[in-house]
Amino acid sequence: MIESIRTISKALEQTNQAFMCLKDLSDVLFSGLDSMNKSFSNSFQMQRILNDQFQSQCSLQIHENQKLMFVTTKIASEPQLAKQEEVVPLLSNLAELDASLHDGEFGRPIPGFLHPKIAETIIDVQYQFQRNPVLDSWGDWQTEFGLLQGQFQRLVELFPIEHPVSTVLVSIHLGLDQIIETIDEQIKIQHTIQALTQHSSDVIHPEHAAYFRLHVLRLEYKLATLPIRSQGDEEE
Amino acid sequence: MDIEDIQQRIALAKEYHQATIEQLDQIESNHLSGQVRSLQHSIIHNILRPIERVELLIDIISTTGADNIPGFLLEEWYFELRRIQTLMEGYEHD
Repeated sequence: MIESIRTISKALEQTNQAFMCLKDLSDVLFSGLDSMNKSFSNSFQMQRILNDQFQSQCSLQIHENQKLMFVTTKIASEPQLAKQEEVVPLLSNLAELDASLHDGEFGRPIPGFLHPKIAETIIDVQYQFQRNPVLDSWGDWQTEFGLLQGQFQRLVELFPIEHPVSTVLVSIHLGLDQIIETIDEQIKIQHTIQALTQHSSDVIHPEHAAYFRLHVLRLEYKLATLPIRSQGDEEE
Repeated sequence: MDIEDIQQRIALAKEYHQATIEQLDQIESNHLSGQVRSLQHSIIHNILRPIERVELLIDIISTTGADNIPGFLLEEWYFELRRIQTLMEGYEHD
């Protein structure tokens, strides 16, 4: 039994590390969304709410995980406790967890537990996506959100639909589509302003130049301020 | 829309209208000069300038790439092009 407890304990530690990685990812997304909301007059509040929900799910899972870890540590250090009647309900929780561990990668969902293969992949995903610390163009922001969406795409594939985190991950992924589209539109506006400015200085008739300048003014009005990552976000 | 076909029709329409303006220049009549100038002005501002503008828009779309232009603007330009197309019809047979 002690051997099983040790295996469970190891799996729980990995789960904890994986959920910490997810929490870090949520922090990175929060920082990006906060900057975008400042530039687009809170247009991405829905994405922000979804991320808050994700953060809350991670915290709940970590809390459940820590409860299970406490039980396994206690029983592993004092095996005689397993014989006591009060500990039996706690052991049944661990028995369910053990069953899920034997089910395989997409086994029965246990709050606070992830199969080691899933946990390991989540930890790897965190390190596979290297971010640019300096974001000083719309292109950089597009890459940043593209990377985040790539990470969420990988996570969507890892969680079965029954898992409470699964739907939130899919929703965040879809929400990122809208952000990437908005950034893409800003890049297009910049390109078009450049092209129109160039043409308005090249045209022969002032009538055409005025027509293009009018378009430039309209586009400039639609151009949002480039989001800036605050000092606090960088420290995070 | 076939861009090459439109460019060809733009060239023909411009040629036709410029020739008309030149022909109007040949009219030597003090009595008609006011009407001739008014007609020339009308051809230049209502036909030639919009056609030239569309020519410039096509040039911008070709050099910038339609994928790099915001959707709302591209749609507006498309309608402008459709509207101007009526000014370029039928000159290939004259």
